[in-house]
Amino acid sequence: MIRIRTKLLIYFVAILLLMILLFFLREHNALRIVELQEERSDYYFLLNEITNSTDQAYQSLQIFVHEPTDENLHYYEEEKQRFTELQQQFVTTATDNIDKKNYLHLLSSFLELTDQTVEGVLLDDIERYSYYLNEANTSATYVHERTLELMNSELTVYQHVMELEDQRFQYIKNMGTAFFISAVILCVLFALWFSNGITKGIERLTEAAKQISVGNYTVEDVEVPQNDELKILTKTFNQMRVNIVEAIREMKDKARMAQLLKEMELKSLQNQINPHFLFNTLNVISKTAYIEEAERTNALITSVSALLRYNISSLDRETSLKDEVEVVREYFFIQQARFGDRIAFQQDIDEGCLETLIPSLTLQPIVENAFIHGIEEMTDGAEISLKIYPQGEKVWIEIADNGKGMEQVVISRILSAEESKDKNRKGHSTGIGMRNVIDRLKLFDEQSDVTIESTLGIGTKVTIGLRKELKK
Amino acid sequence: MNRSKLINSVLVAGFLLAISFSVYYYIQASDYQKKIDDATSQADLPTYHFVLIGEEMDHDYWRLVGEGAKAMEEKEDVFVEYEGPKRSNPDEQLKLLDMAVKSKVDGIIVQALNEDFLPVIDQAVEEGIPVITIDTDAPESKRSTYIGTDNYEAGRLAGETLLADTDGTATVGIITGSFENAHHQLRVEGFKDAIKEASDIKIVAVEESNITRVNAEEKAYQMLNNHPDITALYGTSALDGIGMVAASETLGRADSLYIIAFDTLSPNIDLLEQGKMDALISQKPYEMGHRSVELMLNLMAGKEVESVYHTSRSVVRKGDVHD
Repeated sequence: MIRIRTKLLIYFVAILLLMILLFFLREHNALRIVELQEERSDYYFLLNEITNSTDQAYQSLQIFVHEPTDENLHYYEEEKQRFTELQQQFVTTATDNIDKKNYLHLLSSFLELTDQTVEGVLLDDIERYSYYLNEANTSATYVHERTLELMNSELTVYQHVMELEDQRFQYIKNMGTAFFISAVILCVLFALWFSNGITKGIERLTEAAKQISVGNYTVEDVEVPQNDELKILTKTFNQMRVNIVEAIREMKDKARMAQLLKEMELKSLQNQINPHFLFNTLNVISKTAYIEEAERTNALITSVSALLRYNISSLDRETSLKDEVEVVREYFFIQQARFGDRIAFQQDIDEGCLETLIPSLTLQPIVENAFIHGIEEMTDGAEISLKIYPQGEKVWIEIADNGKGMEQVVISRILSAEESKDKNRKGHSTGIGMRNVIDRLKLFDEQSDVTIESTLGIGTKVTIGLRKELKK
Repeated sequence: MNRSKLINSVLVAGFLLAISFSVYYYIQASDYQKKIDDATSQADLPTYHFVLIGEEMDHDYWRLVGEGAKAMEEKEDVFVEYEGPKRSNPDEQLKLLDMAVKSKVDGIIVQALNEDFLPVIDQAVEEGIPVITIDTDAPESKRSTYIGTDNYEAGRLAGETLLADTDGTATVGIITGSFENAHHQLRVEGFKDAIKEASDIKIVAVEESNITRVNAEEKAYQMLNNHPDITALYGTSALDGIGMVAASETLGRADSLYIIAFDTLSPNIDLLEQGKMDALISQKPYEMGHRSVELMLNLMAGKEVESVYHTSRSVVRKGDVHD
């Protein structure tokens, strides 16, 4: 991935380099011309100096010839020294060609002649030194002439070179300008592409975000061509959109399922009981028993009737703990008529707790369970206890039996959501199982507690914790 | 979208255009760079450096000599410096010779114009610079060899031609390049010797043209005026012929005069073709220059050379040209 920052940096550095290159190109070429001019004028100065030095050397020689003193000789030697230095300088400066060769030879001829003159003077050979002095003089004039010629030819060459150089510089300048223009265009192009790349990506993202904000989750994935931060942004954005859609779908599914289940459950429950007909019949039987003075029958049927009335009322109704306890008592009355002294019902109820709200048909199914699974098969000494007491924030309801108990596996099966929907509910009066009770309790109040403790052969205890004050 | 596409393509096109322009200018600039390098760089110095000193730098005849000498540069490792006075000037020429000696060149090819050249030539040889005389010899000097026309014989040839063409009867006026210059003297001398026997041929005047065309014309004009009986003119240097023709035309005597001159330069040949001139003594300037350098190279190589090499001379008449 190339980050936008890096891209920008590369872009700026590239432009900077281009400009620097351009600048140096021009500078270098301008400098070249200046250097050329300097070199040439240095050369001309040197030539001029050489001719001057020739004259001076000749003059000093003349003085020496006229007055051959040590002082004048020394003076001549100095001039000669200077002349030789200039000669050396010329050797290093000038380009190698025939003119230079001639010139150098001429200079050395001049030196030889002056030296020979000095020699002649020292030997006091007048013929010799006058001849050489003359010769030196002509040589000096030759040097002058040659210098002029050299300058002339150099100037001609220089003029030509300068014209060419000017032309070349013109072309270089043109090239620089063209190059500059192309660089500027390139900059503009880059800027355009770059900003387009960014703004396009952002525009697409904005558009998609708008769509999603009004609830349209079906927009297509946002795509950006470049591989930078925008890519990450769009990728995460797309992922987020997909996640949201997924979450919504899951939510909807769950809600529908739950509703379906509940409806089915209610329907099946209500179908199991055939309430009104049975209730009316029971009423008739009760009245008949009363007329026939069968008091116990009447009492039993009244209990059954009360139990039934309670049962057929809507399942999702809530009621007070008091009603629930009453129903349990009625049920127990009926069961006692059936089992007689084989069972005992212990009650330990704190009256202050009876106003607590509870879903209807919560306690009765649990007590019934205790009968069916716990103590039905016991021949003697069976006992079921109901204990209601407050503790802390909650009201605790304990329903215990001393029956055969059950295995831990069964308990955890009941408590876990995985309770089998087996129709094997033997002998239930209401057809409401333990699981249903727990589910409804949880729906009624999320904070209610249900625990089951059981030991094989000793008994089972179901504990329910309800919040004391529930504001509905 | 379409607009931005248009802008994009325009920009891209502009960019490509600018880039190709800069490339074009770059190529041009490097072209000029190459030219500059060519102009400033010097070829390696050849092993030998000779100086050829002629009578007059821009003279047609001498230019041919120079070309002949320069042509050797192509073949051999040698540089020939062709020098000469701007106008014919023996002192200047002598000075050039002296300068060449002081410049310690490897060899000198010089026209030994007069006696004054002898000591300088000798001095050069003493300093170890071989000297070849060209066109005009200085046999008494220490020069290694001479290459050029046998000037005396050339003069004789001119005389013999005139003798034959005029049937031995003529009054002759002579324009010579110079009274001092050896080759012109020889040409006049040879001419005189050739007509010595013919009693009907008289030389009534001898003038010098200083080898310029204008002088030749002036002298010929004066001569023809002073000596109206002149029937033939003889010129010893290349431009004398042109001057003589011009003078005779001015006087309206071009047809009657017999004119013989030296050197087959193109203006001379034109006049010959037009019938204004009757005969030319041709020399071989190109060959002279060429062979002089060859001889000098032989000297450098230590080969023996003869003391005199004569190049051929011949008479050219109308119709003979373009050989």
